[in-house]
Amino acid sequence: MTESRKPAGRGADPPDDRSLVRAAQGGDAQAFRGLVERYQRRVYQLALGMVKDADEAMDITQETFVRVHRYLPSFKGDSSFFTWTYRIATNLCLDSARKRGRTERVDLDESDAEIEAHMDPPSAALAGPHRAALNAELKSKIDEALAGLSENHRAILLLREVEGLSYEELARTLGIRKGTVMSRLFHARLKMQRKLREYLADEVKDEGEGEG
Amino acid sequence: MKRRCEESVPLLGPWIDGELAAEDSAWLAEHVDCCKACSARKALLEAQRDAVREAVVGKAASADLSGLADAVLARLQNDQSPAPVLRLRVWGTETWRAHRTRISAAAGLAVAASLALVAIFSPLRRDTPGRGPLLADARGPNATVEEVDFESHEGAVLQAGQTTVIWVDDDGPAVLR
Ligand SMILES: [Zn+2]
Repeated sequence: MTESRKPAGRGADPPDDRSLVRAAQGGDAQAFRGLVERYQRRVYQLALGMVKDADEAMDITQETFVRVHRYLPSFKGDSSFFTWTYRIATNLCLDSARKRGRTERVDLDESDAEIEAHMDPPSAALAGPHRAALNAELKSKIDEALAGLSENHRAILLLREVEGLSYEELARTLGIRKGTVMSRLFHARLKMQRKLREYLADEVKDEGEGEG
Repeated sequence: MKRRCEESVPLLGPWIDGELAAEDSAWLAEHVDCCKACSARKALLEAQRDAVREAVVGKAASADLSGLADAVLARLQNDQSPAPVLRLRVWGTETWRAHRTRISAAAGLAVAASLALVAIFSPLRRDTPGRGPLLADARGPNATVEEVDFESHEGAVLQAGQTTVIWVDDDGPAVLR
């Protein structure tokens, strides 16, 4: 069976990941560069969210792509390239955070009682539209809140809220079950809310229509 | 019949993520429509999602990554040695025991010291001994687990210090590398 080969579009769409990966697997350095350039900012973004320090995030980003290259021969294309890349990046971030021993590794998810206590509804003002721009205070509170999460909670929150991975992709990236994705994400969001809700409420209130 | 807030709270997240089954979305939408509290909870989740995204993306946006690809390619040039890719195949407990030595040798690991396997039985599957999950414990400097591909199997990765524990829920093969 021969593989049908589509004629290369002339300066039209950029090559898709699959063809870049295939070319890179065949030793094409420029194709690999294309992949790096396509995903470097997203990987850096994830790393910066995870480790906070800009230099360390840059090192992790670089190391991620070195490893991507190293393991490229074993990439079978059964997951998307960026999910696979995130998996490598996430592991590096988790390793790095662990080496620094910055936070407790064990996730102690909330007990039912704690969740129950959290069930009081947030202020009605939240039902309004969201503000487009964040104020500086909220930004720094978000930083703080992220830093206060365990690595596992931080990773799943960033991969979902920022990178937009589906639950299936989260499960594959983090090596956990889909059920665990749901509960881990729930708890990570809850912990963030604890720290952010009053600021988020302010944000919304500023702009909200204040309906009765 | 009206569903209660306790039922809807854990589903609000999956709902805004577009990960909820249609039938659940339907009653949840109905509930949120007439429940001010849950409607506010949903708004808070969305506000938080948007705020986190904006904060993180904004922070990374200013970074100069123009030299990164060059730096990576330069490192690849200097780093031509074939990588010690650790690829382990995990079978059922019986097969694993039979192949442990061979796998360890292939991975360049000393059997006893660097690679150990403990068979445990899932509390959920006590009734099917022999099909219980595996607990593969790979440690040592050469045993960095880059990723775990569970393929169609259930599994989990637990990490504690230097030790990575890969847990596979059934006795089919899963490739660890
Ligand atoms: Zn409700």
